[in-house]
Amino acid sequence: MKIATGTASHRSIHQVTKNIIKDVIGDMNGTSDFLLVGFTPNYRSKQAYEEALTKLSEESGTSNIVGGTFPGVATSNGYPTTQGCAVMSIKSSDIHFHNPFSYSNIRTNPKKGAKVILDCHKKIEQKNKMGLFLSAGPFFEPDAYEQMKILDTFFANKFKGMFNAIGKIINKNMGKNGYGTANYADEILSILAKNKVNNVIGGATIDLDMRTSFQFEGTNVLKNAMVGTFFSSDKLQFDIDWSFDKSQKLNDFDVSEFLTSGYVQKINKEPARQAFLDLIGISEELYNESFARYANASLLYLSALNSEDKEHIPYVSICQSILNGIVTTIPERMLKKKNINADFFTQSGTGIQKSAYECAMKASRNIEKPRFGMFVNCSNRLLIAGDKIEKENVMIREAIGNDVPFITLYSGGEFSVIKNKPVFSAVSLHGMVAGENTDTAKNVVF
Amino acid sequence: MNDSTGISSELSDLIHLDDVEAAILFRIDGNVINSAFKEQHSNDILRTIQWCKANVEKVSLEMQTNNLSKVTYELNNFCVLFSVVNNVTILTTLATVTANLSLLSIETKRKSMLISANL
Repeated sequence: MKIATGTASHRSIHQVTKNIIKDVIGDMNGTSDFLLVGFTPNYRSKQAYEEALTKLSEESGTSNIVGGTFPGVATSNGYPTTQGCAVMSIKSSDIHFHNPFSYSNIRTNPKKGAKVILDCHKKIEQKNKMGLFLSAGPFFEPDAYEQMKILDTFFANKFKGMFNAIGKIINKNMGKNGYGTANYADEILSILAKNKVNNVIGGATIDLDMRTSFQFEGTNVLKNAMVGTFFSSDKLQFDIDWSFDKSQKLNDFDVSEFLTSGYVQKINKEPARQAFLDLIGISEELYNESFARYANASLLYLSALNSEDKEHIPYVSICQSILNGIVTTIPERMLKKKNINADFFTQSGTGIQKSAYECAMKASRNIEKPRFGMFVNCSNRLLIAGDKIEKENVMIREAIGNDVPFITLYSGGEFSVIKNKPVFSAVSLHGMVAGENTDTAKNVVF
Repeated sequence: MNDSTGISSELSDLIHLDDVEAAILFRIDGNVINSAFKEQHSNDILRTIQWCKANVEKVSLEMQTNNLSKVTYELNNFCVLFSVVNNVTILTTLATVTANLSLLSIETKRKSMLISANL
């Protein structure tokens, strides 16, 4: 098996591509079986990405390419960049890299997207399988939340059934314009889990300036699409896990009244927006100053649902001055459950570094000899860490081994299916490690 | 020996970021080693650069004394980010006040490392 990784940064996409070809593709002598490619979104033009992918494909000898645009990209041997490209190139006779798939109407028809993935999964004969899919992430106009005002009315509080449906229509309408990833990604994951797809990892492409992001399938550059592939092997094992910073639990967070479309009307029996601001203890003015440029999503303060197996799953709350409630990224499937038991967590720089170690340790605990890793990290964690973000990758190296190559893509919503359980979460890290099998699990202590 | 083409290219990369107006590599005594500016620049930015030049020695001393790797100032509607490159050089990045400083700090750190390798 031969693996090359590298990160390059430059104002020109042509120069970045040239550097990647020299430093990464060159190592493989034009014999790659698969490329995972993450470009940052600053190059903007679809044509520029198409040209870059065509060049990478020509030089690497494979059109088996999956990737997209992410606000930050990094590799085990490259400092993270917000203006460049990261590539992982693999050649291996032990792994079968299946042809990439795509579906271009993912925001409005996730069921069909799931079917595309399932069709690919059915054809695989090897015993160990790992799916990777990247979906279109959020982008929206500043006034996107205007249409949600109706969810604050007396009738919306009184007639929940009807307004659950209205909220769903609003979400779907906003979805067409780019807003949101939670529901359609969660729906796909849920379908995959029901159909016995064990291991899948993925994330959403995003431009933090809230412009269009792109997804790559071969040399095709797509918008509003899902792309992905499967790896399979009889020899290598793929393991996967995830984590978030659970170190600072603040309070119980009683989601008293809500609509299943992801709109929380009351927290701790009080109107949600004010209760939320009281809970985090900052004024609305300061909140707006801190989070307005992050689409008013509270990056540091996460509501985390306590799931059936007692594991917390974190979600972002979006607090808009024009709304009395708060918008949450909790998927509809989770809000349909009878008892919503939530807690409240604060994220810290040190905490997210530790959680990176935890994720990588858990993902590699059943693998004696890790060969490579793929990590989907939240772009919000990139914002929290700033220029200390490399420390997360140092933690990953510590956990899986200093010489194990990996790539990290900073996404707008990250997800996985782990042993038939779908997990869509926020401000979290999902990681996959591939390597040789072992029956003895590492003794992991955090 | 300095690779001035390499340094110039790294500074040009920085000013291609949407919110960055100028990137200047100072010696800690205030002399400019290399610089890059957006084509259009206002009087405000010239005033801010003047302030940087006049204060870089003082800021460098403060950073060295307190072992600071990065210092940010906000003035004239600009953010000024001083990042240590090595013992004698400081990278100064001028960005609009609305710039995302977390993302910018990642790229300035990367550029500081690359410039350091070029010096």
